Amino acid sequence: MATEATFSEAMALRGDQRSYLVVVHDHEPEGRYTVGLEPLTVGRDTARDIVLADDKVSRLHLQVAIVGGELVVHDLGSSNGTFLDGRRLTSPTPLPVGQWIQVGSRQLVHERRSYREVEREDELSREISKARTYVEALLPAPVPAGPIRTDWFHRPSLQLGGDVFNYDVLDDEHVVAYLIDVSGHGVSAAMHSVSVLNVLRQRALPGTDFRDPAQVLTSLNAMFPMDAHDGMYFTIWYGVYSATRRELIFASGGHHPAYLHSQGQPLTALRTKGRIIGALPESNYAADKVAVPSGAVLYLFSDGAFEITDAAGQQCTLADFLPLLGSERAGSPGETGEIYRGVRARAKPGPLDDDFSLLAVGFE
Amino acid sequence: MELTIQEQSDTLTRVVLIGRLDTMGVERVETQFNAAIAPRGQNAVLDFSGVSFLSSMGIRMLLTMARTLSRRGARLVLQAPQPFVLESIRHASLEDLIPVAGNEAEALALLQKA
Repeated sequence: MATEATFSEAMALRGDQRSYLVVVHDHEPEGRYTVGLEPLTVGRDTARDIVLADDKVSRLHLQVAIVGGELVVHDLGSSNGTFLDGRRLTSPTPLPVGQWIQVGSRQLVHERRSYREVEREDELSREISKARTYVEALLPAPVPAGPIRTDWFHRPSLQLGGDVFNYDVLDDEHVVAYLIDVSGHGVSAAMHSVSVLNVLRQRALPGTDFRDPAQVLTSLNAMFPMDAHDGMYFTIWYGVYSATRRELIFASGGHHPAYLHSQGQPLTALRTKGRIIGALPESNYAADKVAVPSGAVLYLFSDGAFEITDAAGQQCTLADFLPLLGSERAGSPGETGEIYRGVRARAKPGPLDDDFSLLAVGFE
Repeated sequence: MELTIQEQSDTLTRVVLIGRLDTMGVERVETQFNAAIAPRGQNAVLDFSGVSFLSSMGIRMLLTMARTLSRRGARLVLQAPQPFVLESIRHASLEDLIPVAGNEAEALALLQKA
């Protein structure tokens, strides 16, 4: 019997195909582990083969092994249990390919794939991870205190997204803030968004006054026609704050409004009419302006913040999102993360449908 | 996402779209959509009453077609989009390039006016 088991176990590992356990937390893969001839132990203790830093996981929680060619999960008397399809495991149980078990706040997914395929994917993941780090390094650091404070939250729906944003001091008097949303998501959208962001960061639009939003959008439209960029376009909301006049001049290139929150006032929609950038060369852009009261907070966000599907399968709209803005925490550090969690709580399980970006700018 | 060609006459192409025009929806129908409308180069009416969501990729598909037809002197009209879809078109400020009609009669009137 022992010989047969060893033979079938060896057969399961033969060839190119292998079993893997993928640890998933908060919808993101944390690690992939090969299940070989030796059983793997899973637990909170650092001596385990798979260590899960999770209060709901026991020090020695479970064991997985290849038995008779199947991947079998054995809960080793854990305090909080191991669940498959919502049922707590009470005896060693096969975990079919593609199925997952719940352990604390994590899922362990059984994948069966070729070693070469996994190698290639790991290599690609490493490259994409580097690209994501690069994109995130371009985003500005939050400013928690001072006359102008900023707070933001950014979460791509895939590993790379098409949203970027920035704020910067233009001169002694003016501060600029903008958010760019490239059509689609993934690598190509991220590359395009970084191109646009770098042009704006370097102020590399010839003959353009960066204090004039209409000029900036007109120049961007000339520089980034969708025909010359693989059919990609982007939307942008661009605003410039004048500290002495306490006013914000702004323009939109196909972007939904930004919103200004002032204490005791309803949210003010900051919208102008202007086409998405790159759609047509002859597009015109015009700016508008608004007074900025003391203590006001400006919110810029991508459509991924509100175009979500809720847990009941209903499509949410901008009107569903707006009540999350201008809470008691308006303009304080961490507010944008709290708003993201509010959106996340309403959305169906799994990653959001689109990239989520939210930038809040508070004025003293 | 489903696409049905309702009419292909000498002067008009009428297409009905149903479902979510998100990234997956676009992948599913874009080839059929382009094949139904672009080679004929005639005015096209898209019945959008059954489209529940329009993503940036969906806008890109419509915009590309509107520009293709515009170069041939024809237009693309959206018929009866749902409020949420109409909001996306308005935010993108594309109503002049992709005009919107409340019903079939309005859609045909818009094309005659052009």
